[in-house]
Amino acid sequence: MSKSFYETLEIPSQAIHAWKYTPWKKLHPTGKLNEVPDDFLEAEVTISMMNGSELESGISLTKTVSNGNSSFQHDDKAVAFLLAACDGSTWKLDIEENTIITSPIHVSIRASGHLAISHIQVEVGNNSDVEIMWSLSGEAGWFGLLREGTTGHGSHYHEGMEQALSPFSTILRAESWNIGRDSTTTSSLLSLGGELVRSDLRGSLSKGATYKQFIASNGKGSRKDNHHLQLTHPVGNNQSELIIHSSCDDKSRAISTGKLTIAKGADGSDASQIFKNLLLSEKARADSIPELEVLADDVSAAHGAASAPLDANQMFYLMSRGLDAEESEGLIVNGFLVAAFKNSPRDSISDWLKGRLTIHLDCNLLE
Amino acid sequence: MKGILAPHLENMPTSCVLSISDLHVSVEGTTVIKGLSLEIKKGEVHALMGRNGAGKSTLANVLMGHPSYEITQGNIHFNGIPLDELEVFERARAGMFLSFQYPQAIPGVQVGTFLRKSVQAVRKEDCPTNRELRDEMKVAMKILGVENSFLGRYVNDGFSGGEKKRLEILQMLLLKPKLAMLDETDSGLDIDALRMVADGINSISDDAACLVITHYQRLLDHVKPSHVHVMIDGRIVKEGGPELAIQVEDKGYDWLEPTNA
Amino acid sequence: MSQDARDAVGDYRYGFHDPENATIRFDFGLSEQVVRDISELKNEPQWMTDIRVKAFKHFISRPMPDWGNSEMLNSIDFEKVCYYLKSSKGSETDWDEVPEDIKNTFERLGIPDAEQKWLGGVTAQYESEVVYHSIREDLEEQGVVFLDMDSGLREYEDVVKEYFGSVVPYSDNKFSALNTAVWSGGSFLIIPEGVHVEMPVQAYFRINAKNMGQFERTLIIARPGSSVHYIEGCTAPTYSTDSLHSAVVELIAEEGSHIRYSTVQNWSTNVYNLVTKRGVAYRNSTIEWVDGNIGSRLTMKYPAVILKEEGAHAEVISVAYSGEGQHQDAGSKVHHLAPNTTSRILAKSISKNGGRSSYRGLVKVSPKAHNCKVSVVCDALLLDEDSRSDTYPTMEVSNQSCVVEHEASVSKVSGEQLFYLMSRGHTEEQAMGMIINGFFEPFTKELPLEYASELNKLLEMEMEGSIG
Repeated sequence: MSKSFYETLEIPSQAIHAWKYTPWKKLHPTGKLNEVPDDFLEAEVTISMMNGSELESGISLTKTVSNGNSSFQHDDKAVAFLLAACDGSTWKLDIEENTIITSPIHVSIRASGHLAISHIQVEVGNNSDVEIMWSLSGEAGWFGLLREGTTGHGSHYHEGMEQALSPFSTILRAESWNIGRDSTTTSSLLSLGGELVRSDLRGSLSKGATYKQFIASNGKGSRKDNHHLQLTHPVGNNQSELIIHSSCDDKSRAISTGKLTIAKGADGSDASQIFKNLLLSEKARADSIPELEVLADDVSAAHGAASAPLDANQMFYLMSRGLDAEESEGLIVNGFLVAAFKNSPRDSISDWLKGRLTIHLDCNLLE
Repeated sequence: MKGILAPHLENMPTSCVLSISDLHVSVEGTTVIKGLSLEIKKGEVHALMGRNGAGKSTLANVLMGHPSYEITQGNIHFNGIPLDELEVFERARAGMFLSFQYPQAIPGVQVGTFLRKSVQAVRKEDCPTNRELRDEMKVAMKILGVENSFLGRYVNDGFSGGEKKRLEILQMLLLKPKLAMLDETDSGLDIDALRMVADGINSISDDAACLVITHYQRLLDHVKPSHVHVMIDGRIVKEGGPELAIQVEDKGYDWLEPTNA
Repeated sequence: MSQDARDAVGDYRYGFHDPENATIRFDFGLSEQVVRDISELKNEPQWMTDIRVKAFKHFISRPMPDWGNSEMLNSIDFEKVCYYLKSSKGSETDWDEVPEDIKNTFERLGIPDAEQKWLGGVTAQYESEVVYHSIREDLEEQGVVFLDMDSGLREYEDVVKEYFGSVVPYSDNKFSALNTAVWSGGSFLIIPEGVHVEMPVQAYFRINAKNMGQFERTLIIARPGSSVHYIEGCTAPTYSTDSLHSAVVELIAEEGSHIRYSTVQNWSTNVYNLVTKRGVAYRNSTIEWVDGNIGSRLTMKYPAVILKEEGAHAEVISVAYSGEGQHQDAGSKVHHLAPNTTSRILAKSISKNGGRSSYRGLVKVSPKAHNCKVSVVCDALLLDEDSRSDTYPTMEVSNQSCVVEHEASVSKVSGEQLFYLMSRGHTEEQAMGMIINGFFEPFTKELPLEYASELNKLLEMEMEGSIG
């Protein structure tokens, strides 16, 4: 995608649902809004088995120069920016058909330097079954991540992602997923790093498909974590589930916007989205817009959103068992965040993320 | 009603209220009732016993006209009328009543309004005035031990199991059916509620034909059946008088399995 | 009603229209001169003329909203609307003085009857002007002021000057600007301190002419410790061309007062209904919007409450019914600006025959609003596969100590529910009608009995012939 194309696009209006709370001028790395800088550094991407053994066959990670094929909606200013920034350079993560990987794979993305970028295409072959743990880390001042994925018929793709970049980074993430027929995809994200984070995830479900996105976001300092999720059921007999749990401490702000669309005739769609915010400080703020558009009648569609402070009864109970206020709060926050993963079908993924979260929160306590 | 059989049957002195012959029923391609015949006359109380999954509830739903079931063979007559000609509400208006195993909640619709509208729909010929209906309700509610406040609640919305069953019987008493089918009406009831429900059934059993579906003897201690049928795997495998229910209570169902017979 | 129109709308029971005997009718179209002419005709003070002209300029420069149903909005031809039409000499307080044809209209709608039986006061607006208003003597003796807005401006200019536009400024949105520019009629109601108006007061709005624009303006002030229930009803004849209804309603609930504002909007399906309603609630006061949208082609209306002082409470119960060709884009906005404020929003919608219902809501909790509680519940029922339901809820919470809950669901009528009701002798249509009345019950139970049963009948009628 060329820089000149990026320049032709208008700055997105805040009237657009996906752009309501984090304007493009806050995200753009230089503030010169029609510029795509030249000095992007590609993030380092590596793959291994979680258990350290040799990478199993059927899976490969290769760097290519993309022919421009991309499932992204090109007229989005942020997507066009990211595509122009990576200038065709793309990592392809291929899982061959009928590949069953028995132990989890680890993909590490390390973003460093002033401006970092990475574009990854995930292709999951028909009837394969794989678990991938993604680690996002690094000290980059600004990091752009484009990920797109396709899952094949009957495949099972389950991923966990720990986003633990530096607390001072700006992170712009765009994702586009096509969930194949009768396949199951779950994505569990633990969002910890970055000072300003905007992620925009679009997905579309085929017949018989299941797609679940679970997000736990830990807000502290002046962190602003903005998640926009847009899922479409163009056909029916499929299931989607979105869960976001955000804890907001200090001056942090959690923004969760969602748009679920069930197209006309997509009978048998089952869609739900639940956004929960735990507000821990006077200055914290949480905004939620779980939108729903239903054009078919034989569906199950529900959504909910809730914001609340710490439960005084829970605090009292824990403190009556000898924990101090800080420890009690820590436990409750930890419990609230990991509850986002309670419907994750793979324990290996939720256990890994729980472990990462505990380490993260413990480090915070030491600060 | 174009049935040729109807006038003939209705002229018979001891005509059957319900007559089922060689009934086969399937749901989503699976045959659930596999050749069942049964006749019930006015004043008779038939108990239909059997384990869960034997096809008892299916029979009740088929008789009431539930759209999920398909009759693949056999026929059913109600007072001489072939049932397949009647829609669900026409069956109700003709005098059939089913006390549901799982009554549906209708949020926002008050019990009182619902009862009045149903009585007006079903008892067209001897429709009571509002005043008469109020008196009838009082009597029926007393039998069932139901408070007046019941009428202001929404139909089955947030009801306990026992409350739901009482509302079913209350409807039965007010709708005065010719055929009352009670599907597991005794399950989940404490002993007082059970006695009240039984009193309700007994109060109509002289004027109606009753089909009591249950898998326990419990209700039959209070409602004396004239006939007992045991159903296994979509068929009636044993018929008898009240003593059969007691045998089932003692011995269970295994001895009645066709392979053990 | 022409046969075409009849075919287009079916059996809309308020669809009759009476011969139009205009005494003053403006030409179609809007200009600064039209705005000035309206003001001059009404002999208004200069400050009001100035606000109107400012609002007109804002209306012209303000773009059409790009959300909601912009396609339908953009199809409104503002040049094909009559902005002022007067059919009677003035506002009468004696029913017998009302011109015969207008009287006929309101008698067919059952207004005088209702007034005698259960209302504390009535105003009836026909086209641009209020033609009749009355208030029970005992209320008048207690100092309750219930006038049409034009009389209010004449008789209580200071009060109007203080509050007009204080809750809904003309610059709030394009249609509040339009209303402020060309407003005419509406109600002016002041409840003095400590007075409880036990019987509801009702305003009745009727559009009779073709291509009419009705722009009433209502201001209700409840002084400390007072209470009132205000009801508005709206109907119009059915024409094949469009009419526009764009009202502004401002409520001021002073300390400890209680205002309930109920609407049963049953415009014919050629009416665009674009209304701004907002109230400010002071300490320990309550504002309730009970908002029913059954008619109109497009409704965009989001009754709002600003909870300005501690202990204030907002309650919004709304229902929307969208049939063929209709879009009800309705919802609610609540701003919690003070501690210990509470709000409860319940929105229910039914879509049928390709109709579209949207809930659009905003709940905003400001940093100072400690310990507030918010509950939002949206339930939508889809009756067939051609219909559509949307939910666009926004929650912005900037205070840690408050509890905000939102839940929404979309469902269809279950086959098991229908079977259960049919097994009790009800036809499928009757069963459907019962389920729908039950679904709307949380709304209808808030209305006076006479209204509720009227609405139930209306909905049952809407269900007739709906089952293929």
